Parts: sequence; C-alpha cells; structure tokens
Amino acid sequence: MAVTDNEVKNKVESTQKAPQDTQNAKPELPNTKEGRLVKELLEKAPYAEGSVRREKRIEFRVPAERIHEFLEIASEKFEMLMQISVVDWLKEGEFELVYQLWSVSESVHAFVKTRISRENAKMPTVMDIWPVAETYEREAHEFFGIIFEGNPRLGPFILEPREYEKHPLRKDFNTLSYVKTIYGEDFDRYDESKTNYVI
Amino acid sequence: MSLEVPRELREEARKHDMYLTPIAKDTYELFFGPQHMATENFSIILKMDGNRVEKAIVNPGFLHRGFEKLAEQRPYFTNIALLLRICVPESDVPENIYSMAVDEIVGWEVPERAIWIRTVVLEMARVSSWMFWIMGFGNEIGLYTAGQWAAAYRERLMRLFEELTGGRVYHIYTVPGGVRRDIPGDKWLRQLRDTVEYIKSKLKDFDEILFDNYITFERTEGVGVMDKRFALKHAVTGPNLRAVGVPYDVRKDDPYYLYPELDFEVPVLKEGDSLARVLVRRYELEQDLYILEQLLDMGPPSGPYMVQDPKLKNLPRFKVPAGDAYAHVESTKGDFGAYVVSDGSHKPYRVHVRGPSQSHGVTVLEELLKGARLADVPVILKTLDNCPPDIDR
Amino acid sequence: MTMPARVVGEEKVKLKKSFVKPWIGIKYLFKKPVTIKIPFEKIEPAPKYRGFHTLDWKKCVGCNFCGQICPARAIEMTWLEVEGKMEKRPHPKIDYGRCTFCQFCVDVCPTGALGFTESYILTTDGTEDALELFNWVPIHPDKVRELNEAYGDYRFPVVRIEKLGDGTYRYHLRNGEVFEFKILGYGIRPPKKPTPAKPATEATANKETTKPAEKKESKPAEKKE
Repeated sequence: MAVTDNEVKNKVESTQKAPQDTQNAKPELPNTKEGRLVKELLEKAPYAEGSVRREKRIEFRVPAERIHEFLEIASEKFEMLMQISVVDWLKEGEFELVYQLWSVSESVHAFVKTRISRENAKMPTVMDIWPVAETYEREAHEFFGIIFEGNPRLGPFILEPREYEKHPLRKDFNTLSYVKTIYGEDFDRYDESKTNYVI
Repeated sequence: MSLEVPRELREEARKHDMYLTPIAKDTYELFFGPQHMATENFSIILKMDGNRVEKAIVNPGFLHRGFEKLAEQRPYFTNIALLLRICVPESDVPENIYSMAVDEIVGWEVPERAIWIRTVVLEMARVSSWMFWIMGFGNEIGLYTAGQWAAAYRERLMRLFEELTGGRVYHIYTVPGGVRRDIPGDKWLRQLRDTVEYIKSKLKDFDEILFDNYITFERTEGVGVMDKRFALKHAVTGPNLRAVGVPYDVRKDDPYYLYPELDFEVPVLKEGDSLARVLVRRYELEQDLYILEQLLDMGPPSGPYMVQDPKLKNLPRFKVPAGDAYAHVESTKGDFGAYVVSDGSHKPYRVHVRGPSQSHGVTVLEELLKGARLADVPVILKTLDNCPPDIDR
Repeated sequence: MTMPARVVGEEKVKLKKSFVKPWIGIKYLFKKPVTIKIPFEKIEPAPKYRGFHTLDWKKCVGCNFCGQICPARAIEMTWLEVEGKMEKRPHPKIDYGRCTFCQFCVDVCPTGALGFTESYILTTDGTEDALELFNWVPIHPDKVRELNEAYGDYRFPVVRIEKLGDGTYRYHLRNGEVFEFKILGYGIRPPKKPTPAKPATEATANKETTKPAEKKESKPAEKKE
C-alpha cells in the first residue's frame, strides 16, 4: 500500500523538523502538492508551524490565541471542517485540540493542532467560519468542559442533564466510581474485592 | 382551546423550557421520536404551526454508550469488538477505519490478500447497507413492498458474511494488521458472485416499484433542498454532498485499499433536494455491485491474510508506538473517519470517531426541517440517511 | 496512481417518473415467498459460526490471556476441583450475560484449549436456577460435538446447572449425563488452602474449611486490568 511506505518516509522527515518560527519556508518541504500548500499557508500565517506528514496529510501547529485567525486563512483552501478532536494530555495539564480539515479542491487532509491549559479552558468559536462547528463544539464542551466563546448552544447535548458538567472523556473521570454512585453497588456482578475491574 | 394538563406537570415542563399548553391556535410542540421508525432512536422536538414545522431542535443521546471512553480502557485489538457498534447497518466501516489508523501508526504493510478481503467486505457492507436504506426509505414513503424485498436480499449478504466472519450483523472481522479469518474457499467466492448477479438482476424491479414510481417523485421532489455552499460549510459528505454537485468521494479523493485500481463512476446531481439524494444513492448501489464484480474478476491474491509480526504473540499486551493517525472511508452515509492517538502503551490514548451524521444530522437537519410539512419530516430524515449512533457514540 | 474521478451527471443518474411501471410489481404475487417458515423449515448456522465456547481442561494452562483480551470482561479465572483433585491451573468461566461472542479469547488461546461450536441458542425463563446457565465453565469440545450431532438443533449443551451449598456444581447435560466439579476460588493466584493431594474422603470433610478460604482468597485475586 502506498499509504504505509509514504508514512515511514515522512515520519523521518517530520522528526528532522526543527521548531521553526522564522517566516521563511523551510527547505525540507517537499515539492509536492502538499508541500506547496503548506508553504502557501505559512507565508500568510508565519506564526504557525507546518509540515507534511505523508501524501494527502499535512499538519499545522498554531498557538491557541491565533487559532481563529489561522483557520480563517485556512478556510479558503479547506472547505470542510470534518471534526474537532480533543485529546486530554493529563500529565502536561493541557488539552490538545485537533481541527480536522479537508480540502475538496486539493484532496488534502490537514490537522491543525493547538494546545490550551486544562484549567479554565477557553477557545474562540469557529462557527462563523464553518457553521457545522456548532455541533463539534457542543460535543467537545460536554465531554471535556472546554468553553467555546461565542457558541450560543453550549449545554447538555448528548448526555443527560445530571451528567452535564461531569466531562466524562477527561482522563481524570473515573468511570467505575461514577457508575457506582448512579446505580449503587448491585450493578456489579463481582463482589467488593474485584473493583479493579473497570466497566 | 386549552389542554387539560395538571398544574404541577405544567410547572415541571416550564422548568425545562417547554410549554405543554398551546401557545396560540394551531401552534404546538411535538416530540418526534425516539420511538418513531424513521428517527431510529433519536428525537426531534418540533415546534409546529399547523402542519408546518416552525423550528426543530435535535435531541440526540439515546444511544450514548461512551464508546470513546471505553476504548481508552481496552487493549488495541479488543476495541474492534466495541467500536463496530457505532454504525449498525455497516459495522465493517468502524472496524476498517480503526484498523487503518492503527496500521498507519504501527507502520504495517498489510498483506495483499487482507487488502483484497477488506475491500470486498467494505463493498459488501455498502450493498447490504443500501438494502437497509431502501427498506427504511420505502417504509417512510409508504412503499412497503420494496422494503420487504430489500430485507430479503440483504439476508443473502448476511448469510455470506456469516460464512466469512462467523457473525451476521456484528462481524468483528477486520483487525489491525489484516483480517481474522481466511476466505472459506472457492465456494464462497462463487456464492458471492451469484448473490451479486442476483441482486443486480433485481435492480430493475426496484427501479420499477420504487425509483421510477411517481409516488417517490411526488414525495421527494423539492423537499429538503440545500445548496452547494451550505453543504460545504456544514461538512455534509457522501451522497448528500454529491446530490448538490460536489463530486467528492473518499474512494477517489483519498484512495485506500484497492480502490485506485477499480473503475467506477461518481454520480453527481445539482438539485440538492431529496429526490436527487435518492437517485444518487440508487446509482451508487449499481456501482457498488459493479465494483464487487471487478473484485471477483481480480480474484484474491495469494499470501497471508494477517501481518506477520512477532509482537502479535502477546496480543493483550500488544504495544503500539506513540503517534496519531486519521483514517477515513466512504460509507453509505458519508465520510466516516477515526482519529486514533497512541501514547506508546497497549491501550489507545484517544479514539475519536467522526460519524457523517454528526454534520448532517444536527444543524443541517434543523435547517432543512424549517418550513417542512409534518409528513415530509421522515422523508428528509431518511434521504439524509441519518444514523443517530454516529452522533451519540 | 489516483484515477481522475469519473463523474456522471444527470443524463445517467436521472430517472423518469412513471405511473404504469409500479404496477409491474404485481408479478411478484405469483412467486414463491422467501420467508423461512421456522417450525417446519430449519436454518443451519454457517460452519464456524461464532457460538458457545468449549474448553479442553487438559490443555488449558490458565494463562489468563482470554481474560485480558475479553472486551466485555466476561471471563473470570476459576480454580476447580474435579473428583477431589484440584486442577493445576485456573480455567476460564464465561458469563454469557456479558459475552459478545467476538471469540477473541479463542484467537489468543496459546494452546488451543478454548474453542467454540456453532451452537447459539440459549433461552431460559427468568428463575434464578435457569439464570445459572449463563455462567459456566465450558466443557470438552468432543462432548459438545457429540451432543450437537445427537440433537442437531444448536441449543446449549447443558440443560440445568445445579449449585450445591459447598461450591459444588453439577452440569446436567442434555443426554442425561451429569458432570460434577467444585469451584474453589476465583482469580489468577491459587486459593490459600488448596487441599492438593488429599484423599477424597478428607476433601469432603474439609468442605467447611475450603469455603471460607475461597472467600478470603477472592480478595487479593485480581487481574492486571
């Protein structure tokens, strides 16, 4: 498969990538469709870091305070926002937001990654760029507790109202103890000693 | 006129921002689902003005089972038995996206035979999902006969799946690195060819009774129209996007497996109404059967069906190097993607599934339902092919 | 490598609406229905259909791979005593209330002790006795196959599980045979008082002592998950 060998090749490439905040496009960018796309975007947004992962996959790292600005520029090329994935890096005390973008015209998938602190996590909404972000942000808000400023519909969405504000997909949410508080002890077919069975 | 509702109940309802008494004449609130057949465990609160929908609020969550959280607590291979439950009519799609993402993180070269089997399984899943959709759609517009036929033909595919994978609905078949079992033999391939031929011969009957039927045209033409810009901004994918004139198909634009070698057409219409969506789907069913025929002509390549890796000896403790990957496939509902993050341990750090209904089942649905007649609500739901487990997970 | 998308438009995709064509469907009135009339017709599950488990107790080494891979945590390692002799390794006990029939446990089994059959029917009423059937230590594959061949209706090979007070279980198989063993404890580590090589008479006398031991043992017993 073309997918895997490209992956290996580009992994090496991305490891060589030094953190570069200078605005000149770095020489390692391959002269492909993806490479040109990254270069073009980085020229417009010099504060971001960009790299090519493999064929049809590119990656950007953007500081959280400029994410809206960056996505606005990116939305010219990337027509669709496929998903906002949130990863809870508990040890670093940070949430990583990955905006998954897809460009219909170029057939390229872009990860736009940004990190925010776990405490008091706030982000500007991107609803004005892609209205579909409303759904994604509602989900991210419910499961992780990130507040997207400007989104009018944050609130109980998928979970029950009593589960709201519990943020179950955070890494420090204990599934077993929550189930025990809701259903009592008799939900478990095991006796007390086997609590290290997770649900 | 006012309803006789006890005062306590009214207060309780008002606390939740609902008004059980009619606000004005002919204005009322209607709970559509979750027990309605068209919604499939999903509910919509409709604010009705007579027969017209004034406002619709989507209320998902009836199927939330916390798969993403559970997936973080289980070893890599085990998650296959869990994540496939996200998409019931084509359970192979979540299996495949998860496996593709893990394959990419590990850097495995999946054997050719496994690739061939996976492609066949995905296409079979698509055909059986189309059958399921015809059943639902036929029922929504009152043409139950077509639905019964489709269910009967789907049974043949389920039988083939049963022989290949050992399960009928939840196959638990594709795993990272390959597939779990080899093809049962040449007999199975012959049976598959027969089934494809059989369904192909029945397409004409479906055309006659369902797709050419003037009832279908009357019920769907001009209902739930969206335009190209709206669809792109709302990340609508799959047949719904192709029905507004964007030829985006993951199998063509981000090819995976054997799709670069296969020859098939991407149907595109410009109208963007329910009828266009129905016709695009009908054409894709034809193309999928054609793809299956091509795959059978190709024949399965020889070789192993699972990657050979000494690390797989200890399957429960199988560790995946740190990294992340996004993989997506074209399901019948749209672009189905999974984002898998690994931190180097034997369990995934995060699995995030992007169901196509997440984008066309919430905001898009709310927009399209505005101004629709009550009888058109199931038609819009079914032509968007909304699959609530995608949203809830 | 990517082929340009072959896009087809209205000319091929669009259909003409018809008032007459739907009536052609009437021809199906004269065709044989596809419905399977269940009490009169039989359907066979496919060979290698993922059904109930079997376990070769001689081969099982008690490695707990099955317990670790199980997505539903349906498997619990159990220390057993057959005819007064304790099995050297724990054996899996499977809870069919939890089992998803994914058969990953069969895939990972390093010695091939755990297997499966095509039997898939297990229906009971809601009584406590009947629900015991849903939690069993699988029996030898040959036995299950023999029963399958004798009856051929793909039902659960055991009709009743009798539970005696001292942890003794009696499996009443479908053909009237009785299979008896005793559960000493749960977990990966052996129970504290294993009563290994004692004569059978003494083992029966020891029943009162083994039971509390089993209770105590179940505390530290744990799986790595």
